[in-house]
Amino acid sequence: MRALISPSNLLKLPLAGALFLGLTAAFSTGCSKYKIKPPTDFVEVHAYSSEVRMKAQDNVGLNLRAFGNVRGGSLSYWGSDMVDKLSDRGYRLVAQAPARSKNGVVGTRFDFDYTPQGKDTPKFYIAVLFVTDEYRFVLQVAGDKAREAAYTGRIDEITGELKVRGCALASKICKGPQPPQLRRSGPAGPKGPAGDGAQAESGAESGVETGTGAASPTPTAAESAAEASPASAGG
Amino acid sequence: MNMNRTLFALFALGLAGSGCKMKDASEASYPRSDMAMESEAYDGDADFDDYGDETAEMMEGEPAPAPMVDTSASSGRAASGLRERRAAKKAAQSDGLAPGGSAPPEEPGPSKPADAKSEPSKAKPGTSESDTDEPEPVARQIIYTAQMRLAVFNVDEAMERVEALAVAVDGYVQQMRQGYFILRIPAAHLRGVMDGVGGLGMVTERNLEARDVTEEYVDVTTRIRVLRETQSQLIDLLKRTKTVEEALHVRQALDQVTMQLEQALGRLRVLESLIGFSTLTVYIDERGPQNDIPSSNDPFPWVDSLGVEATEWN
Repeated sequence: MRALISPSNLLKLPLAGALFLGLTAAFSTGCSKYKIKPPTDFVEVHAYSSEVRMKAQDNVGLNLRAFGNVRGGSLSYWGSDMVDKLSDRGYRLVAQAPARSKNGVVGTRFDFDYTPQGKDTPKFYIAVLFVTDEYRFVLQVAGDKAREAAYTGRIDEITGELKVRGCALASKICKGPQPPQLRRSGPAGPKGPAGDGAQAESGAESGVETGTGAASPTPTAAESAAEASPASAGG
Repeated sequence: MNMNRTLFALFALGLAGSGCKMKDASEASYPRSDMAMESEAYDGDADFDDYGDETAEMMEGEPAPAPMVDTSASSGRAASGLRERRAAKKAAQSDGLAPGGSAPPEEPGPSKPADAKSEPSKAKPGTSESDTDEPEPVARQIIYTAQMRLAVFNVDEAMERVEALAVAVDGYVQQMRQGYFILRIPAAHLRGVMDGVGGLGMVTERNLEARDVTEEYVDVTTRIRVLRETQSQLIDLLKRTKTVEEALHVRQALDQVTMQLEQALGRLRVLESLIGFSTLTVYIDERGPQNDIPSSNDPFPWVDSLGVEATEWN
């Protein structure tokens, strides 16, 4: 008993307390998969553990979704998967560029054009994909095409507000390479009027632009870009 | 006495040939046919419930009027009618149905309901087409019922399009409420409309059921033919009656036959409606980012919950 309350042990108490408080703080915040503050002009509409939705005054929406990752799931694989499936639904990839989250996780930004069938209002859709060992995150911004100019340059600012979790120590996923330049012969327009899940039939020019992480992706030579499929992307 | 025998024979023929079920009367809610309307001219105030008593009285042997109808001819027609009915049933049960009559599931459709519709009227009153034992080729009659459930981001828009798809093929909406449709689609267009509806969103459930009603259809059409013959004979008989009592007896029999005929015609119309117009029930669910619904056996349907509809604020 006397040994326990020796001066040397008493000195260790503050250290243990500090360690305990530190771990508590880490776990209390570490439970959430992501952390994002509403960017300027956006307000949070609702937030769940795997999704947060925000809107701007002009009805441009911001949506962050978190999905679980699986072993082998890399940025290349999920990037190809996403572009393929969105192309099937009538989305046309127009630009692709690297992105980075606030905590340094590398992602890829994809810019799409999309016009719902039966409507004459074209839309812009920007999806930024981050992949960690545990999760996939898609930050989406969408609205009328006429509003695109006001937001396309703000994506870096928005991703700069986002922290994503799930990276393992010395993770190869979080520091993995960018996906190859994706270019898919997608349909000219969506088949389904609601644009949900309908398979496309016809092909069309994709005309992908590429960038190097600038606020707005800049076009480069995309003609020689390799066509990537989920199978060949290293799934 | 002979008159009574004749009436009774006709009555028995009518009852045996009809095999009427009273529940059919409730199903026969359609407007009456021309023939039925024509028959109504002879429809008196006879109380059908008393018919059994009348028959009993006739059997007991009332004063018999003079014979007016050749009983042997009548019973001969009855026999041939029954023969034909059996032959038609047999033909329907066998596989040797009319070529092109049976519709494969890929192309659901009635086997010429228009032809079938005109079939009962082919049998002219007083004539018998069943003199030959050759069974008429019977087209397979199938009722198609389908159900679909799909998930869309915009329910109102999808509902408009579903209705438009039905109207475009001369179908119609039988019942509608938010997210729910019962459509009646010409059977030949059912598959096309189902494909169209499937393209409106993510199909989560789809089924198609075919019910073969050839036997019932043949049964009803044959019954109608026999009843019409009987009705025609009774009309002739009514014209030849000489006393009020005779006329009353014949008229009661005629009323009974007419009622059975109307019931059979009503059932036929129900069948033709069901065969000609398939029933498609469509359930439309609202789809949002909160309810991921896999569109296929893709092990990673995550992209289904992404997109403009899930992001933009409507």
